Amino acid sequence: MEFIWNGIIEALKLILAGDPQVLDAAWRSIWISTTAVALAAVIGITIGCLLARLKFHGRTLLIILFRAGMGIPTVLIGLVGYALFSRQGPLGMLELLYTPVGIVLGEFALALPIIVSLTHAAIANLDSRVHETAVMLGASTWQRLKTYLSETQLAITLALLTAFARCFTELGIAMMIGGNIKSITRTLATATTLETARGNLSRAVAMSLVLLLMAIVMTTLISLLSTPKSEEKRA
Amino acid sequence: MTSMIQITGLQMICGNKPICQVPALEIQPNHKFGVVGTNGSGKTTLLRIIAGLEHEFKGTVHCSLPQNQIGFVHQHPYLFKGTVRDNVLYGIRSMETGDRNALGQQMLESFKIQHLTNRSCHQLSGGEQRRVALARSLVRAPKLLLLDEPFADLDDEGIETTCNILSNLTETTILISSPITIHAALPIDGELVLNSIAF
Repeated sequence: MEFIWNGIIEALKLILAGDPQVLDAAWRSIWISTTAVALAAVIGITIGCLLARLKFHGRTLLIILFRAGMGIPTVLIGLVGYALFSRQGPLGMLELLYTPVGIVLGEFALALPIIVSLTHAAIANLDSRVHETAVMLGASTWQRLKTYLSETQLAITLALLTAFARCFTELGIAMMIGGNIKSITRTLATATTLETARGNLSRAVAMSLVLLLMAIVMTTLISLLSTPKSEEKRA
Repeated sequence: MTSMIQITGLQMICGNKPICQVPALEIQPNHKFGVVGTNGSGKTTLLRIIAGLEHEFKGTVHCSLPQNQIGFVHQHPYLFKGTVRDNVLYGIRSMETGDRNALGQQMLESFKIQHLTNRSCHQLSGGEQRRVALARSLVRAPKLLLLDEPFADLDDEGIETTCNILSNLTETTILISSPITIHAALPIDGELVLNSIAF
């Protein structure tokens, strides 16, 4: 037990002293996850809206595939990414293996099904009067889309936060596509694994504490946003 | 005079049950028309069919107007997130800003809700929400106005204000559904009585 406490105390000292290795990995984790979620948001929200509002052949299959994709193991995405980006792979010429951009693409694949599925669910479950009212008030397709997004703003924000939390804490993609290269592709999750294997418990705990802190911030934000404000309740 | 709405042999069935039956109906332009009936008689369904919101029915329904010239206010109106002003201006976004604001303000004043302009719609009472929904629909100056039980939730002053506004719309055809006759509140040109459909 003392061994763990010492690790935590040392970890806090490292964080407070601004340990360059911890900060470097933390900053990389943040920008990689943010970029991946931003890309996935643009494409995922659009696909989610289309799936909710348009009827076409194969729509149900697509919805099922995206929902199944929400639970896909990160090591599987990492493995597929590795196969695609390796020198012999079909995308080998892009030289994305062991680069931060490669991790961004892998995390994009992780975030996309979450954002698509949650956006689709939010818009498909909207009160039918939203669509009917917009149509009867002469709203254009673009104005209707903006209305759907405005009416589901909270649910979509929660979808983005959920996707970010998943990307920020994932290990499989960063390890397999990124390769855990110091100062290039090392993220908090991969650094924690490495430091633990090296027996450097204090640094591993410091990295984990930053991960934990981000998880707490995300969970708190999600909880706060999920709670309806009293003033928003209809009189 | 050419009818604005012509209905022949209308029947809408949900499952095996008829939910709306209108053998024949003609409504002339600029007329005010009541659709009266008890709960479940098909008043709302009839208005929804005319508005083009329902498509699975038997018979013929002809309306001489495109959907963008029809105003429809639900029995329980839905107000979008935002302020009263945002909602009232929703349907006239393509207008020039100055004209749009002036028209919106004029409509808010007509319904005596100008004091609610910047209030969030989620903070309004049922009656206030209904007035906002009516103003939002009327600000577009529709040629045909379909109102599903517009007097529900309104107090006496609200009913009087709404009736005054509707009475002055001489170039708009209005269909109003109501569980009771509306002759007393608003002069109308005709009334269709729908009977409750026994199963």
